[in-house]
Amino acid sequence: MSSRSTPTIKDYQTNIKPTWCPGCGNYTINTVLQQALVDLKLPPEKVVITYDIGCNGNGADKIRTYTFKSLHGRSLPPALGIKYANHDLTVIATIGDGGMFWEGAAHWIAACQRNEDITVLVWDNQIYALTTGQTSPTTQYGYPTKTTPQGNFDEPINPITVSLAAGATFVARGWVGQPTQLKELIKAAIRHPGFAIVDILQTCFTFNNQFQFYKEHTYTLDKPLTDKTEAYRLAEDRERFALGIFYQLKKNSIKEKHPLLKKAPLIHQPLDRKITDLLKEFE
Amino acid sequence: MDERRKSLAIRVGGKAGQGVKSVGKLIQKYLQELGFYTFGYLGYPSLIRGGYNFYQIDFSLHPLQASKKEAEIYIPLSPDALEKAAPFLTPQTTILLDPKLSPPPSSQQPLINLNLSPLLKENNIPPIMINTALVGSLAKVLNYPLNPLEATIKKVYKEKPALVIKDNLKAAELGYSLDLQWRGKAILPPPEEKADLLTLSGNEAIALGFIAGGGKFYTAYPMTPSTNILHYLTKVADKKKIIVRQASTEIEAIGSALGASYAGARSMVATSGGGVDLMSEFISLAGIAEVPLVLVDAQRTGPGTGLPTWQEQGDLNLARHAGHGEFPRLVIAPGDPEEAYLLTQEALNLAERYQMPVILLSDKHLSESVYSCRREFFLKNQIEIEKGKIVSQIKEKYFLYPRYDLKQTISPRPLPGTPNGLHTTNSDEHNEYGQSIESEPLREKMQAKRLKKLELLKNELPLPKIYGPRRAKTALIGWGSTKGSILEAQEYLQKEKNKALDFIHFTYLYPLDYQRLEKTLANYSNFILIENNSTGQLQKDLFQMGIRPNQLKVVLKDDGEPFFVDELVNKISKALESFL
Repeated sequence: MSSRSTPTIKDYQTNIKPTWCPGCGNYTINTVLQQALVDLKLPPEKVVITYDIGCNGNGADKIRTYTFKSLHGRSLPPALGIKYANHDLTVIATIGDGGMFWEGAAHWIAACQRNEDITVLVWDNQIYALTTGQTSPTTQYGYPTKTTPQGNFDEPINPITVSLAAGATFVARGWVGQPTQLKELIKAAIRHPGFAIVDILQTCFTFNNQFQFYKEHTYTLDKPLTDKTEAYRLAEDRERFALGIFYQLKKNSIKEKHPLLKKAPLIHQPLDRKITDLLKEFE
Repeated sequence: MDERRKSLAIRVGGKAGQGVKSVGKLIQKYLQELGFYTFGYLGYPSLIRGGYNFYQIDFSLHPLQASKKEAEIYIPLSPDALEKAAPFLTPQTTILLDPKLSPPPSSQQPLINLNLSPLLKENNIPPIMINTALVGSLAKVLNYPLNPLEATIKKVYKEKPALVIKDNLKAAELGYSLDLQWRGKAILPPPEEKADLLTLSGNEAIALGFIAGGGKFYTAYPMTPSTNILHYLTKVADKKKIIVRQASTEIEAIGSALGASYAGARSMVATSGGGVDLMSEFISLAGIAEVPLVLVDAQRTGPGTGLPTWQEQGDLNLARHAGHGEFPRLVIAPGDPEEAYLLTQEALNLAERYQMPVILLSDKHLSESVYSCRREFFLKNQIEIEKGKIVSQIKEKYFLYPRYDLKQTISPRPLPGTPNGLHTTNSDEHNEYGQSIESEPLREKMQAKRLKKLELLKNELPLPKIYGPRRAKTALIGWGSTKGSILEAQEYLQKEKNKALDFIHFTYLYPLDYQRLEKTLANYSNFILIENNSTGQLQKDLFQMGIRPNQLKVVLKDDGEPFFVDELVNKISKALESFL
């Protein structure tokens, strides 16, 4: 468990029994994330995971790292600050579809545009589950929910194309039905220097069970795409859902933008509290 | 009038973008160079170009921290500037104008009519430098020496090209060369000995306090009148090795500041009242998750967008109540830049020591007015950093670390990255390890643990400062930025009207220790509460401190401007009469 020995999956498991419904995709995401961190040989104390409110948020004490359970839609802002303060940490923001694409959409767009150095994992079950089944920004057209009993009358938002358009430098889609691939996507996202988003299609067995649908309507991309136009084209397909990396580009990340951080993480830099020099300006 | 108390006020007015601010700054710095204490009050609309701006400089041989309402000299820089300034001028106000910029007044006010343009043209000085020439003429009118103005120009335009400096020097000299006189002699001769003064705005003082207090991460979304903190810190960020980041929203600003603070970087965020509204939910999170944070609310006229560039002390209740649920917090309102500098450092310490949000209340008046400050005060008042119970090394093995240990009111806080310190920082109610809980006795204990911090704070926080003879029958009461105007009015009433008054100035506003305060207030028969808002938000608290309604008069102002000294003197005098 110390930072010297290689961590195992046990190091990442907590003593809390999850409260998610049987069959919930969250079990898979939680376990896959733990495995990804083990594969990356990251000691638990070097990882900070932020959480949203909702079924995702209930995962905050189901993994043994430093975790920060934020407000609804606000998983990203604390993650940004943590990274600025100590970029030696692996900072992962997890969040649900409602929190990411509606409540906190401004943070989503800005983080893509500014290529913030964090990994975002969207637990995308296309429904507001913890609040017992209302329409979410990714609920499929025509699907009946508590707030749209006649069927959802809006087209869902497209997390992939919007992220691409906003300037994200790593955009991927995974599915809990393909855990091995999902693990690799999460690892690639964590390794990516700059903003990485993985939209994780999952199933809410209670309010929106799309397991069979995704089983029949997903396929795996042979290799990561590098052409943005091609990425848009494939992402626009609402019949067959590609799984894999839609786009990846290495671009200036936190250290290039802030030369100060090249030397050491902010919290490890000596303080310069002297103001004598600054006062000259006010003479 | 007591010679020492004598002050003069010069007001400059014109269209936004015409250089009102730079002329005002040059005049203020010049007067400081001469050794005067100065106070600069700036007014401007929420526009980039065109609207009417003004800059008033009051100056005196004694320290002063507020403006008079009416200026002795007015310099109009645009055709409509005379009309716009009318309420702030008297029949005695001397108008110093150049016909190129403004037509002469139709009134009978004393007029000094310059004609600088031909002079500038003859000497090949760009017409835009008429502003500097005006300051040269002003120096002549006041019968002050030219040399200190030249020194000031060199200082103020230090970073400009050599030619610009040369032309400005020439312009000042040309303005000064005119044969000008005003009331016959120097009415306020410069002091023989100069104090070591600086001109600083409250925002600059807050920013300096952030650096002196070991701040590392500053983030904000632009909002008047807090934005200068962001500008100033951006300018010095590289030099002082801090991260300054414009956030994409106020919510992102406070959320990221909380994240950085949680990870061990002293963090601060600033906004105005509307921004605090947006940040409220995160303030509440800071309360339950026990994450330190300093939030500056530079108040402006509300509600809604209100008067975005004008003054009000409307957010005391907001600062004390923003955020749902019940949680501990601290509210501090400095009264001037020196206090702002010191209390920003205190705020950073208290936030970390108590692991709670601290709201520092400034306002347009404090944040943007330009005060004379003592350099010595800034150099001598750097306080020691107290990080509270931060843990960066844990020897024992913990499966999970009891971050919210109930045995201690303020429990140890391991920074992420620390081996053996794993825990959850949780916006949900939680157990010692931060794990979410449902309703159970543990909730009661956690809530009690957090709220107990307020009791600890009450024991520690200083009582309000009392200015005056300390034996007066009547006490003036104020908080935050009204300090300067109240001190000036108090002194005037004492010296000119022989009315002895004490002034109780609150800087720590929440939590208040009513029992201790009751004892302090028991020494007085009557009270006058002075607030720059419509309702007097401290009133109810005063009743809690044992003041009876018939002992209290409230003096308020809510027109978007600060209290002017002369106006406040009248208002206090009236209130005093009503006690008889």
